[in-house]
Amino acid sequence: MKMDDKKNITVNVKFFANLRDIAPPKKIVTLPIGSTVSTILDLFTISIETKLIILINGSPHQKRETLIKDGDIVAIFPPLAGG
Amino acid sequence: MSKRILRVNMTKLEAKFEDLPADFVALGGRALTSTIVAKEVDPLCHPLGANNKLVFAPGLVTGTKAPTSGRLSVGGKSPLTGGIKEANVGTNFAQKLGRMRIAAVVVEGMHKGDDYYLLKIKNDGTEFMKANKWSNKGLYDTYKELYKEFGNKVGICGVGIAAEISGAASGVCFNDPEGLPSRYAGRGGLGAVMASKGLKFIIVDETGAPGVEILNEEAFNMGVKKLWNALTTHDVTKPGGALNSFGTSVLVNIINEAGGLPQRNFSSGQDDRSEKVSGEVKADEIKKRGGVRPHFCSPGCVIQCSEVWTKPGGKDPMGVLEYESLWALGPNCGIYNLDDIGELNRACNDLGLDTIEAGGMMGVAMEGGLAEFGDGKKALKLIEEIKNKTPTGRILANGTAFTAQALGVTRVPVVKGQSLPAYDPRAIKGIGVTYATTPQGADHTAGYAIATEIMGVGGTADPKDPKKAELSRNLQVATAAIDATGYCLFIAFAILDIPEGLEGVVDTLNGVLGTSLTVDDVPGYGMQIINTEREFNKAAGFTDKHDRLPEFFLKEKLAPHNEVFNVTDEELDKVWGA
Repeated sequence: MKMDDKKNITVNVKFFANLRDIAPPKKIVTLPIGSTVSTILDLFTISIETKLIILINGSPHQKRETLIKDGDIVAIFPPLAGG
Repeated sequence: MSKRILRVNMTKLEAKFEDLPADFVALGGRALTSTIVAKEVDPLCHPLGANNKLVFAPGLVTGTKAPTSGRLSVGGKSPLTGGIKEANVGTNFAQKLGRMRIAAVVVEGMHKGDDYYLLKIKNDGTEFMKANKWSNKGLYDTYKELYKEFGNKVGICGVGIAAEISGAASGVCFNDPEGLPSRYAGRGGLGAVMASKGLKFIIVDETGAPGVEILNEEAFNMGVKKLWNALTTHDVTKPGGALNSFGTSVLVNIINEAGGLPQRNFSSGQDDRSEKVSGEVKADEIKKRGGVRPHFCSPGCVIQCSEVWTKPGGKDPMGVLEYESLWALGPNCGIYNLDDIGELNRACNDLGLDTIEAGGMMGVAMEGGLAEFGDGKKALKLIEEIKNKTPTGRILANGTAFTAQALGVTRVPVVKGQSLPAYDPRAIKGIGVTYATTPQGADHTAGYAIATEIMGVGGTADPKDPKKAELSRNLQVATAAIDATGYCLFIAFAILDIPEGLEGVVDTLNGVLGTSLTVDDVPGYGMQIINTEREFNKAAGFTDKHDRLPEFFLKEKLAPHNEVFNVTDEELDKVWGA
């Protein structure tokens, strides 16, 4: 095992709808252990104030301070609804 | 001129205007259709017999300048569920009725014989015409001919071949702004009720209409302003927001990510291929093809979630390809090709089929071996069986439960006989509570818990938490009230979060009615509607045991989260306090 593997995690980040104007639809990113949702938003220069719907592994209502784990799928949406 | 009811007797081919009874003055939309059906229809009558009635009612503010308020309720006893039904649609047909001060059109009796009729409603009278030349024809061509004959300013309501063969999956079709037969009061088989009476079309010509009477202009205008502000500032409903930019299909990806997008007849909750038919991909295609997006279903809408989908090259406009339709005829059938889904939706519109029921039916038909999952071309051929009125087509036209029974399929996603919409209740429990307990049969719009469980609108709730009786009840009660006003249910996204928006809604009601209602009156108003509907269903033979999901949702784990529907019967019974 490489040294980096102990320090970093790999996360699958997805952006949807209008957010694709400012971020890629999908990207595998490597982040330091201890990263949160805010770390990802910073990485893609999305303001912390932006209203978003964030799902981690399919679970909604994630907060900015939620810790990200290795292998997580983080799906980020703008406010939306329909039906 | 005061508000009136148009009573249409199909046995005698007579139509008469009556004054709206004083105790009905504060009723509109769903409140009026359900009240009239409960009062005048024997709950034990055959839904396709002379004793059922079909009621059309615009909402209380429909036809005014109040934003996003072009909704119509269609009610009767459902041949699909056997209970009371209100199907809701956005169309300028509704606004025309409102401006003619027609609170309801009540169609009763039954024409003896094989003739079909067209009823033309004018401000000062009505006229019956034979409509046999449009029988057994697709609605796209027929609507073109009707506009040619009656002019492009009329509103058109019609039923198609699926209704002519008494299909319980048939809806009632209305025109969109382009005159396409693409706006449906789809659910519950009310198309077959209309056809059973010998009524094929209603044409509304509002020439000379006085407009909606507004008793307190100041209150009304204040309400319009407050609601307008809420709709144009809330992130979900504002211009340029996700709903406006991508339409209702913007839900495909988020529900798929949440593991709740039913695949292949509710056998999984997620499939990566769903992205191919997402709102994002569809919006790009519409732009490339020269379709229309955004678009409104009826004039005066701020949200404008609609669109016009076309074939490649911008040919043959189909109308809106809604999330629920796209899912039902797409991922639910293992189909991930927008053109195949679009043509299936076109075929449903042409035949007068409810797209949700048709997609649910196709899912069980595929599971039963009539086609392979994913075979869009074969699915289209099966829909043609309905057009050709073959024995197979007649089975399919009766919807999901009937088709499943005919084919020996046991995974049957229905409640009270009506097919489930596009959210698997194992992954998202609150919507399952609504499916189970609404008097309407499985219907997402009856209490849209998804807004809170997934999108965080109106608060947040964990989708996997099985304690959802209170959430579902509150939403069902609020929804019933909104369905009476004539506002689109989508205004709820804004007014659940912005109190001034809800005040605006109540202000506009006070403006129209000359009342002094407050927001505190809204839950009681909604509850009264639900109680009326539940009483009808009880008299029709429904018990609390019908407020349940099919067994397989409780036993079969849903990938990827391996959830079952673990809401207890006690929790379900808590919704209405049984």
